[in-house]
Amino acid sequence: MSGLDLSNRLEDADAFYAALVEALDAAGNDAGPRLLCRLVLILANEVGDQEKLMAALSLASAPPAP
Amino acid sequence: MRAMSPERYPYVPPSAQALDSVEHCPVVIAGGGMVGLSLAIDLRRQGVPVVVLEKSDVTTEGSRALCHAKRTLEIWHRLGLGEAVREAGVQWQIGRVFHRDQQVYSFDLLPEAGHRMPAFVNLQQDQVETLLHARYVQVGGEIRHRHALHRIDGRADNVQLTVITPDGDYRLSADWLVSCEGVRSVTRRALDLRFDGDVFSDKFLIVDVRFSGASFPPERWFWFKPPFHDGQTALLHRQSDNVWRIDLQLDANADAEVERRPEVVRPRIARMLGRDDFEIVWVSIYVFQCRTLERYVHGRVLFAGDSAHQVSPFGARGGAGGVQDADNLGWKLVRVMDGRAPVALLDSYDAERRSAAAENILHSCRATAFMTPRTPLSRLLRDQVLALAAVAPFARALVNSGRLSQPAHLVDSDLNSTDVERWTTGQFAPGSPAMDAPLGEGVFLLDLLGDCFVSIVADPDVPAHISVAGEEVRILALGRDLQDPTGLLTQRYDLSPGSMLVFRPDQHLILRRRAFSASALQSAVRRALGRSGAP
Repeated sequence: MSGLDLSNRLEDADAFYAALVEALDAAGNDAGPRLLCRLVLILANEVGDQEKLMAALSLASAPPAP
Repeated sequence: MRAMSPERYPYVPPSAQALDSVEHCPVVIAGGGMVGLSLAIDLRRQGVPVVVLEKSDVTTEGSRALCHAKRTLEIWHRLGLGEAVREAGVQWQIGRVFHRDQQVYSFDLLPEAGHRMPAFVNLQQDQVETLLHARYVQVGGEIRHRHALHRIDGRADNVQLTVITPDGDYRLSADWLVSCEGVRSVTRRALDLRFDGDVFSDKFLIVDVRFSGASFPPERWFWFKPPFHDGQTALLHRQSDNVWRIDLQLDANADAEVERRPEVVRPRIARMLGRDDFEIVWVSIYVFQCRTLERYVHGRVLFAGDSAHQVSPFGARGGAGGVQDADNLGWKLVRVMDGRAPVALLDSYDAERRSAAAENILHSCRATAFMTPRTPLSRLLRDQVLALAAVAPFARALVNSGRLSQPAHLVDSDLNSTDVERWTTGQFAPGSPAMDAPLGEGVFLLDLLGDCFVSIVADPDVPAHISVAGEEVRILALGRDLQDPTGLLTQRYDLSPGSMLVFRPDQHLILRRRAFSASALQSAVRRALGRSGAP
């Protein structure tokens, strides 16, 4: 995972998670995936760094642990 | 302590005179549980006549409020039973969180030394209540079992109460009524007060089981989707007397009556423990609820504990919040009653404890949302957080199995005096509860704080007492009245030569200055008594 900082950098992890869940629950099952896709794109643009984005993509694509 | 059956207390019928007249009691506390007895002990120790009305004559059944946080233990230590609770219970400070059968992370709630009390003690609520009851009787307190509060008529300067007993009704008048009756508060209903919030649909099965030869250490173990309870959550806590507390999440549509049957409970527990040689001690079912009153002070009627606010378990916040309510209210009520403080001081109880309850409810609701996702998408999100947590440390910060109780930092209270200098103590600030520190030979800082206003000064050349507004403020000088052999007192409070700290009677900081100032101290105490601007 070169280039990725996987330590916790969220200022308030619980508050962010609560806000995200609230937004997803409000969006519902149809609009929720669209919200997540947009969020990924917005955050990718915020990161910008191609090497980090590819590393993040690789991590997210990894198969789940057995 | 040996395993105990619920303690049964004698019922004393009201006298013929009581049935025919109106008895006056300065303070009546409705409810003789953890919160009511904590407050009653505090008031009795300070000479206030108190009567506790308790509708039952037995202690609470089952472990219930099992986990007692460090701050709760410190408050009980001030009241004279902290060591008894610690000795009777199981100390712990390590928690482990598992996803399926893999540990996701662990945490240490008290990694540093130099505190009298441990991070947590697990002791069944009935055993805690027995110790509180004994301490209350020791300080001369009166508790009336099977005397149930029935009717409340508030007046401007007192409260008229009707009490039901097996031998008939009688009437009491009280200057103050404190409702510590729990979530089913008669007082709250009698005053027709709204108790609003969230009620979640998921059900949880709680089981106390006894077995010996356990392979689990005294730690908090929490599982998401464990192999023994597919798709749900599970929690394991060790208690005293070889009893273990198990909380298992059930489907929202589970039938509570069916789920509590031994033939249904036993296989679930056997799958978890990998053994069948256990005794089922107690079973209950609950749903998550987070609710609060809009105000905790209604004229001469005050609310504390679950009467005032209710949170979900998994953070030990219910009992801890209630005992902190009692701690906050005791010193204020004593001073209002004897005239050292105006009645308006009780508004600070309302503000400080509502703020603390709001924080508890926030954490409780967030933990609930993580454990019991409401939609398929939020469940997918939760499951991917758990999956990522195995390889990405940042995701572990998002895993919420209940943020465990921390004491309220009352930094927004009007009773605090604002800092005017720079201090490097992290979140510790005026309004925070005192941090303990060892002072040598088995003495800790918190042993010296409480009941009255106390100042700690890093200068041996200061007076031993200062009077202000009817208060005798004790001044403990570093190097004269107390020592700091490990340097932890100086380090934790960022003391420099001459520094002054002032604590209120519930051990919360109200003032700190880099140099001793009698006038600043007096002003801070007046402010903390609700007498700002008074001479």
